[in-house]
Parts: sequence; C-alpha cells; structure tokens
Amino acid sequence: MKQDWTEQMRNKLEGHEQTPPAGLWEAVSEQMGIAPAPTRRTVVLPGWRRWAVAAAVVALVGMVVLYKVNTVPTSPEGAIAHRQGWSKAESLQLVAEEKERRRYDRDDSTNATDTTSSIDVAPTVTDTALPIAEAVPDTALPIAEVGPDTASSIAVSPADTPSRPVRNTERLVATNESLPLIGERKGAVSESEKTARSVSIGLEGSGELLAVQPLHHENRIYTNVYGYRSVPSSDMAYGNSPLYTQTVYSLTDYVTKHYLPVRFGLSVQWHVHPRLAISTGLHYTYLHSEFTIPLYNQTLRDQHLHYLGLPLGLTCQLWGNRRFQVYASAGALLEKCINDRPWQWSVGVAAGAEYRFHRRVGLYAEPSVGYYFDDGTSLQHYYKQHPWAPSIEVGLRLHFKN
Amino acid sequence: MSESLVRRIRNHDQQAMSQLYAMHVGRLASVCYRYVPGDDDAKDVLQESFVKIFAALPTFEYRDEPSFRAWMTRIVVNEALRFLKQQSRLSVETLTDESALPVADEEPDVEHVTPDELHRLIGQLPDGYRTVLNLYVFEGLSHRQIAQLLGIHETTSASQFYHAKRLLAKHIKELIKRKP
Repeated sequence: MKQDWTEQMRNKLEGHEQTPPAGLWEAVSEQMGIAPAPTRRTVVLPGWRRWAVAAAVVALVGMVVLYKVNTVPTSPEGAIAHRQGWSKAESLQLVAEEKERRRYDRDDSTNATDTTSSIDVAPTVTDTALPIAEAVPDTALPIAEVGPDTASSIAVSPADTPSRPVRNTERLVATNESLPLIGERKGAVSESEKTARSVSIGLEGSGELLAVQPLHHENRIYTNVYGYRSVPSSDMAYGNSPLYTQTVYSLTDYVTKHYLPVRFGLSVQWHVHPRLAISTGLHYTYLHSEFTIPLYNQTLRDQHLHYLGLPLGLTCQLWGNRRFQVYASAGALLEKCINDRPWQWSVGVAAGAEYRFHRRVGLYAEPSVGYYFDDGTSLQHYYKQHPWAPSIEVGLRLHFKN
Repeated sequence: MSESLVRRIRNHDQQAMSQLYAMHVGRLASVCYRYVPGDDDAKDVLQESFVKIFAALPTFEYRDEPSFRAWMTRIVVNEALRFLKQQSRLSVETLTDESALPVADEEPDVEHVTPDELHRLIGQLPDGYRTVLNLYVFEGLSHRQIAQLLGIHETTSASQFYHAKRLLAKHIKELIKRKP
C-alpha cells in the first residue's frame, strides 16, 4: 500500500541534518558564561586560524615599520630623480637656470675675496638669526654664534652640516639650504658642496603618512635663506631686480608635496563558503600633488590624478559571533588613471573587524597594507613615493541573502 | 551515549556540553530551519534553545534516547514558534491571501525529491503555511491542537494546511520538471 504523503515527508526528513549557523556554539557559550571549546561542528579558532591572525597582525605591524623606515630623508640623488616627473619645458628651463646659477656662483666665488661684500653679509645674518633660532633650533645655533662676527666667522663649512641634529619635519630645508648658502659667501664652497646644495630638497619630508608637512615651515625657512643673501652691487648687472637675485638661489629649490590619497568605493562580497567570500567592486582614487618653488611661495604645478579601479579579493572570517566578526583578506587592485596614461597595479592584505548593530547592517574598520607597483612612467605621485602604503578603511556593510 | 553526557553535564562538565551540542546540533538545526529559514533568525532560535536545554538538563530525567531527542526537538519547536509570534509572523492578518493560490488539488510528489530539496521547499513556503504544515506533519498535532497553540481558529489551521499542501505540490512539480 502506498504511503501517505505526510508519512513520506516524515520518513524523508527523519534524521535529516543541516549545517548550523556560523558562530552558534560561541554564542551559546558566551550566553552561558562558559569557555567555548572546539567541537565537531563549530570550530572556534583552531590552530591555523590563530596563526593566521597572528601572522596578519605581525605583517601589518612589520609593514608599517618598514614604511616608516622608508621615509628617511632622501639623498641628493633622490632629489634629482624627482625632476624626472617634470615636464620637458620645465626641465629645460631648470637646466638653463642651473647653468646660469653655476656661472653666477663662479663669479660669486671670485667676488668673495672682496671684503666689503663679505662684511655686507654680517648685519643681514644677525638680523635673521633670531627668527631662525625660534623656528629651527637645530640650525639656529651655529648661525647665531657666527652672526655678529666678521666675515671669517660667517664661513660655516657646509661639511659640518650633516653632523648637526636635524628635526625630521624640517630636514628638507634646514640643513641643506641655509647653511651652505652662508658658507658660500666666503667663496669656500667646493664643487661637491655645490652639488649637494643643488639637490638638497628632501622631498620625502612632505609625504608623511598621516600629515602633510605644513606650508609655514617651508615659507619661514626660505625667508631666512633669502635674508642671508646679499648680492654685491657688481652682480646686480646680472639681474637688476632683487627678485632675480633670489631666483639664483632658488632654482633648484622646489618641493614636492603628495597629499594623502582619497579613496571611495563600492564593494560586493559573495560568500562561497560560510567563512570564505570573494569580493570585487569599483574604486575611485584621487591623488593630489603640488610642485612648488617655496621662495616665491608659488605653485609651479598642481597635479590631480583620478583613478578608477577594479579590486578582486578573498576574505576569510577568522572569528565571530552574532554581533562581532574578525576577518582577514588579501587581494589585488588594478586601477586606470582616467586623466593620464598609467595603469596602476597593487596588492594588499588587510585585517578587519565588523560590528553588526543591525541584522543586515554592520560598521567595519579595516587596517591594511598595500604594495603599489611602479607604473612605469615618470609621473610623480604618492604611491611612487610610498609603494608600501598602510591605510585604514571604514564603512558600512550591508548584508543580503542569496 | 547521551545519557553519560547528561550525567557529566549535571556535574558541570563543560566538555560534555560541547560534545552533546556537537552530537545533536545538525538535527536540531534541520528542525529549526524548517520553521525559521533565515540564517540569523535560526541562529537566534537555536541559541535560545540550547541555552534552555543546558539549563534544564540538571533537572531532566533521562529515560531513553528517543524521548531525549523528542524533548530537545520540542524545545526548538517551541522557541521557533515563540520567535515567529514575537515577529508577528503568525497573526491571522499576515497569513497568506488564499485567493492567490494554485487551483489544482494535488498531493506533493515527495518520493521524487531528495531530503535536502524537500527541506528547502518547505522553507520557501509562507510563514503561516509552513508553520501549520510542520506542526501537522512532523509534530503530529491535530488542527484543534494547532489552533490552540497558535491562537487561531481551527478552520484557519485546516485551510492553511490545505493550501500549504497544494503550494508544496506545485513547487515539487516545478522542481521535478527542471531536473534533467
């Protein structure tokens, strides 16, 4: 006799089992105040996941440290390298002006034997020493000492400057700009010292992770540099305008500033397993850089780069309960600059935590470290300065059912 | 097996609790999902159920395995019903409009679907249909008992069951048709 359909249903689902919701045992344990233990069906951070969490944290910390180490002052060669990002016209102009500057320096060396011109410098230095002492204590001391003395006292050897302690935030100009210029007045500047001065802008300093170097630092210091210089009357023929005499000393002094990247995005995650999800989406990134000649307080070039990117990643939930989840993810991002040529590749790892204040909505924070590959162009931007780029992403995440 | 675990749990053995949980969670999850299909909802219901089971075990008188299992299942079903009532998903107003039902009066062809498919199709029924069908078929309650339990009229229970049967039959038919 054929079974009744209800009986068939009962038999069919007799002993039927289903995978329980993720994090159930942890939630039960938490509510009952007992220590969650690994079970056959609910796994609470087994060994490999603990190692994965530890590795993610160590990697994150390590990369941040590595990033910090990479932001030491640039070498003169590094500063030269920055010129590659300039337009051809700008480069040509700089080369021409550099030639003129060198010619001027030679003339200046010759004139430096002129006692009058040297003595002319002294009052100027005295006047400017105090502001420097306030603004840049590290460099102010030798200047203040030599200020009231004669020209021979003013001849501070540029070779001494590297041994002086320098504040990181002002290292760009404090050591490499002002002191060699003072020494130069005595005609004691060697060829190598001239070279060091010509590339002395520490462009690295304007690209700190969470702060862009304040403009007033550069302005104040450069003003002092201007104060040190006193152009002999014979040199006025070279350029009768005082502004032009400033130009002589500022031709190689430009500062690159890369502002922190701004990124917005929309991501979609698809769970292929209760603990694994593939994610993709669309990212927009904005990179802003400024190239300035501080002596003029003039922006030479303002660079805005807009990127659209396609991320692809894998996310693994490491631990979680009903409200809180911890996860790690790794992925790659391909971005196309929409107003210039380059394609930008990057890879990254992240560790994140999400708090669900609603069944379908969670607030998450995701610290990450990305490595940005060289895009193969001479374009200068933040990621070329900081290929290892730590960041933190915060946002809302909506959860939908399939 | 469960008996020794129950004894150990009475002695506050936490490892025994996790073992008992692991032994029964799959089956109880299946029961729970039949009443409350959503992951988050099912998790809430199962969590409350296990907390009640563990809290009641010290005073529970173990007789045999089938009665122990039936006892745990009843706790899960009661929690699921409580959850659905809390969410106002079992009020008469929210029961499905009967005018939108299939016309054909067929019995579900249960024989030609797998347990997983059947489980999923039950989960896809509207709340009212699904609850009455579950209580009638799997818990073996009469329409009078269901009516008392849910606070509805007996004829409403019968009607919900009737329509649940027809809708399930339709879904099974469509599923079989799609199979290669």
